[in-house]
Amino acid sequence: MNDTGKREAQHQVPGVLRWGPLSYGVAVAVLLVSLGGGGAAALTAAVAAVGVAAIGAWRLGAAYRHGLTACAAIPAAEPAPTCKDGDALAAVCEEVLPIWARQVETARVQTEDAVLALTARFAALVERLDKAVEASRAAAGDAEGGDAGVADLFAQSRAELTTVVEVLRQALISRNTMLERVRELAGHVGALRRMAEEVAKIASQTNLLALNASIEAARAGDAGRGFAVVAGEVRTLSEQSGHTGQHIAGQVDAIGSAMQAALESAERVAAEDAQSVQAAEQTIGTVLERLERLAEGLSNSTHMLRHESDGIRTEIADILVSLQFQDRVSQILTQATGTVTQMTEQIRAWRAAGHDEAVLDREALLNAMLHTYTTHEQRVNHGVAASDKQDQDEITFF
Amino acid sequence: MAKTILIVDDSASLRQVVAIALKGAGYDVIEAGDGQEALGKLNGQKIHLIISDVNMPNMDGITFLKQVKQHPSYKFTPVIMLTTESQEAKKQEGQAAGAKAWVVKPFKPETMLAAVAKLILP
Repeated sequence: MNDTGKREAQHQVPGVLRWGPLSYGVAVAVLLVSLGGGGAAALTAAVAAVGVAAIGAWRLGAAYRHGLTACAAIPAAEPAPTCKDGDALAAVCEEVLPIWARQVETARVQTEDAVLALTARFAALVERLDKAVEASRAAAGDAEGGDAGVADLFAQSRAELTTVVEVLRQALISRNTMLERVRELAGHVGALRRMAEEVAKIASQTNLLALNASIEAARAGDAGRGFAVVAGEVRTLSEQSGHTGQHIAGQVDAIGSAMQAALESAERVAAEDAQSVQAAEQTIGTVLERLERLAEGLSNSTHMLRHESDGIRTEIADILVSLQFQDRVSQILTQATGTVTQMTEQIRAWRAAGHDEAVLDREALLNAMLHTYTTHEQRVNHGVAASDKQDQDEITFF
Repeated sequence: MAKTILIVDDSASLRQVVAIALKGAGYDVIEAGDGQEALGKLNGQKIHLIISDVNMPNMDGITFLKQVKQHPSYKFTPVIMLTTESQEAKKQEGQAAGAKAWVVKPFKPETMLAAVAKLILP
């Protein structure tokens, strides 16, 4: 088929085939975004669908250019379409292009909404993750400037319980000291008993002495009568002293027995207390050991949770980087929509001006497109930039 | 006390992405959808850094940047331009208007955070 044949064939392509890809693409994009639940895969598919739409637009654009040119000066050698054909195509463009612009804008807005919802959900995930980690760290006593956690509580409890054990041990030492004093007192009881025996012995000897004195007084006759009275009184006193000595010895014995019983009881209690303190110390040690293991386990869990959390954060950060595609897609689609609108206005003006070729300013339209590009890809697609460069994560400090 | 960063971008999803990265690093964030709205946020509160898009409706980023540099309270606030634009001419325009850095989207959060940490006011 020669060029003329191809052109005729292109003109004969039914409208639905020429414009079908755009309608289909936009419809699929809208459907995917609607049904995709905001998933990244759905968004990617939606963008691909819009791409199919763009191919449809390109095909129609080719027909548009050819059709409109038909009303301009055409070389006589080419039996090009008539001006009437061009006007019909322009009329179709005037109606179809605004619809396409709205469809593309709808797809753009829906994609933006879906990505916004996705990022909001990721933001909520990150926030909940941070709260969970913070709560866990606080519980494990790992919080920065936060309340005391298990580790602090454990250290504080150990210090307090150690103090309690120390107080009990000091009480035991005090009691042993007191027992020692009581034992010393028991020693004094023996001395008192010996003193009482001495008193009784002296009384007995005094009594014997008084008896001898009475005998000697009796021998002296009348001269010794007064002395006999004194000897009798001394004898009476010695008997009383003997009784007092025996009474003291009895009392000392009673005190000694009572003291011995108290001493034995105190020693028994002291031994029991020593065992209790030792048992308390062992129990506290065991409990503290269990608590320490628990605290260590909690601390390890927290570290693991934090490690996993950091991993998830990194994953989410990577996902968020991927989601930034929406901003570029949005800018590209917005620019394309603007161009389609501008093209529609030109066609409308061209028709209103009676097919005046001057109204169709192709150069102005292309220049306007160049000035509204915001991404490297747009310039590459337009053919004014090399495709070897990528806009990504580039930073320049001034 | 956390430092405050103003994010200016007409893409709500992009603002969210930047906000997540900044909040994760402990910064407070204020958002605006374009330069005009952002100027309304410069109401006396302490702002330690501004991150602004370039292509926005109502007021573009370069115009907003020029306004910030004339503002008596915010003229020393560092501004990072965050944009899909990577043309040298645009960068020079931003530099001439007073931007401290030019970051091309899509950015990696750690790249943005490194730039913020380097430029933010004490």
